[in-house]
Amino acid sequence: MEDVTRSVLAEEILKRLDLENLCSVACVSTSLHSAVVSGVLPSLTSLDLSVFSPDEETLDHVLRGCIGLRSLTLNCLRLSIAAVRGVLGPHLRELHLLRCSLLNSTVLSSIGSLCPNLRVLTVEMADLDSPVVFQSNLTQMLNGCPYLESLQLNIRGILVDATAFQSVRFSLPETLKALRLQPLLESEAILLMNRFKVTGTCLSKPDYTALLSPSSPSFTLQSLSLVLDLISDRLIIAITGSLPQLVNLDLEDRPEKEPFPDSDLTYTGLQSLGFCQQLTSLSLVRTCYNRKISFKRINDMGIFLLSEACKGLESVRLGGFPKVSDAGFASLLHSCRNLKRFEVRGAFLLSDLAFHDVTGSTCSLQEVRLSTCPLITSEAVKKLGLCSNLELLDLGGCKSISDSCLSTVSALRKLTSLNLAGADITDSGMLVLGKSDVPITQLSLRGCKRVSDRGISYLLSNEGTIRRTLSTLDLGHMPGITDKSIHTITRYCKALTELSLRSCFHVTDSSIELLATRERQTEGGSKQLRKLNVHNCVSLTTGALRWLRKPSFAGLHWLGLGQTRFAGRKDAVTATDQRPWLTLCFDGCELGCYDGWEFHTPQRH
Amino acid sequence: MSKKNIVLKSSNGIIFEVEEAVALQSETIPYMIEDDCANDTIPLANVTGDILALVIEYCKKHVVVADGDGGGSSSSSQEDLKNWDAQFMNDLDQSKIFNLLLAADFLNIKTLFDLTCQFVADTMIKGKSVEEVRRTLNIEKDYTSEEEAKARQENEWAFK
Repeated sequence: MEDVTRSVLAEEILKRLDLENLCSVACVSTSLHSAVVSGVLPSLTSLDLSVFSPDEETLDHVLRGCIGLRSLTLNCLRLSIAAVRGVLGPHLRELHLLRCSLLNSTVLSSIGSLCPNLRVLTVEMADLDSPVVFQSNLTQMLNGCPYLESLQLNIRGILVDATAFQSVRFSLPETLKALRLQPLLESEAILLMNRFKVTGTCLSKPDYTALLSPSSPSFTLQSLSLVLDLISDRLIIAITGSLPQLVNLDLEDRPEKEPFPDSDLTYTGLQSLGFCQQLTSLSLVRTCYNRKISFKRINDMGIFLLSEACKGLESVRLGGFPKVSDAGFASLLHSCRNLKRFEVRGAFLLSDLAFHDVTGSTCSLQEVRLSTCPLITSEAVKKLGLCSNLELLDLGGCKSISDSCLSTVSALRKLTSLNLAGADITDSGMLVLGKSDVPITQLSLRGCKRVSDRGISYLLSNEGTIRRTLSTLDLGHMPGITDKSIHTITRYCKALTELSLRSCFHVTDSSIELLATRERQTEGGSKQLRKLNVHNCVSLTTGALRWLRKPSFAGLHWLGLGQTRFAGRKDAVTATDQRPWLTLCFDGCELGCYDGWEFHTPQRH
Repeated sequence: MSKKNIVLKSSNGIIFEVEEAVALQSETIPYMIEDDCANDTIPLANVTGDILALVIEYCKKHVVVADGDGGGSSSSSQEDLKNWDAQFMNDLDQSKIFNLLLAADFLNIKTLFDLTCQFVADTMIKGKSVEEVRRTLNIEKDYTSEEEAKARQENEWAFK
């Protein structure tokens, strides 16, 4: 071994590890430390730090040695503009700044002046600026990054001013192949499409454009994703008319009031999608919190025309189509022979019948999401069980799902993600899953009121595969869960890194103790818990706070403590003094603040 | 048609006779053939007999598959080979693995080198705590306590 670690071979081995493992190895010995710091880190070209939200100091330690990065993904939840500016530079080709809750749009002008070579840029930010300031910063960024091929700008907030991207169409680089803007007015989107059309056919300088994209002299946008105030026929016709080469189209709207009948989406719009012959991925979603506003003018006929027009679709996502029934959805499953991802949200008429004809022909399906489709029962799942390639099955909010489909689910050898939130399943269903070989890594049983401690024991203490593979478990809103389940989990679930116990009223301090002191055996010991959500666990007392101090919870990156007795307590916040990289969330976010971070009240300490 | 054989001699004097195609998966051996007379035995001073036997076992397996249907690119034979590789590595103890790694490096057999490096990374380092890595790899702690505290503080966020 001495020979191996002393020679350059150490670097050859180490470069096959990810950043977290590298950081651990660096503490083993000085020779390995120098192999990591001077050998491996400088040669890293790509770094993804999206899984946790580092503080500035930790980020500084991590990035100090990484001088050769071309691609960087950062979770900026806790980073200031100065910290983010510190990581920018002309070496970056790809930059993803996610969950920028503290940054205003000056970050855009910084990117424009410091990162001239960017090809790919994603920025997710909260709505902190006036439209005029935002537009000026955005223009500076676009002028400073002339080679952008992918641009994704998501501005989030309660009442985002949708005029923020008003002038964007004048400065988009022609190199662009993928574009996502959130939010954009429908009228602006149509003007933007017209601009693409003009650029593509008349204004482009052929010699220059040909150099950049030899295959086609026109504007080559292949992926378009917009969050709008309205999806209308006019908009879709403008898109398909200007961008016939589109491969990926993702539209979401959030209308504040019922659209006028003559400006809403109808079958005309859906049919015109057929102009995009290369379209393989389509997402059309209307989001409305009270579900009253939906695509009311689309019925089965509209979806039938869509499935005839776009047979090449490999990914379909439809939300807010309450008038479409089995016939419509079945036609999509039938026509799109290469369908890999199928997602339907809130289809109140979708029943098992739509899946009646699922046979070998639709076995290409890898991901199926049927969320909040109340008529779906276990019979549909039994049909879907014929798709042996299924890797993800999301039945969240399908209340009529029962135990009887779980033996089918258990036979899916590739299934890694299963969401049964709100299903009518019981402890005996857990026994079926617990004894099977299904390699599930992510499981949600949220709100399954009939699953108790016994069910969790059935799931994990049997000799099935799941107890070795499970890494993320959601037990939120389950009244049957007590400390016993947590005991079972700490005993058997060695690979678990993320756990949600949100609104489990019977979970007490002893659960926290069990999780905090989760035993690490020498061989094959447990992984460290990275994320834990105890939001609204009202039985917890402040006595549990002592488990937030070192050395317990050594690996924790994120802790959701909202609506508990810890919330607002100074000693809860000081627990992070020892661990500056630990993010405490008091705002009721889901694990890791993936959603809802824009409404955060930042905890400063 | 007669296949040409090559004779390899390990550091402890054990002789192996293998087909040329098997031996030529090593990018080092061709240079040795050029340097010496092709009919002579090629001495491998850095590789012991038991390790050379493993190297040859690996190369034989991979040359057979490469000869097979259409260059062995079919997914099932690729899958078989991957399983064979995994079993091959699993059957070895730690010292054999490290010696195999050194031999693969010396003989310049790219696929075997990648395989052993990845195996070491996956089974001896990945997901292990600092102490576990020390124990598994039998590495002496050569940090002063201040140095170690500093290194730990900077990297603690990532500990498994």
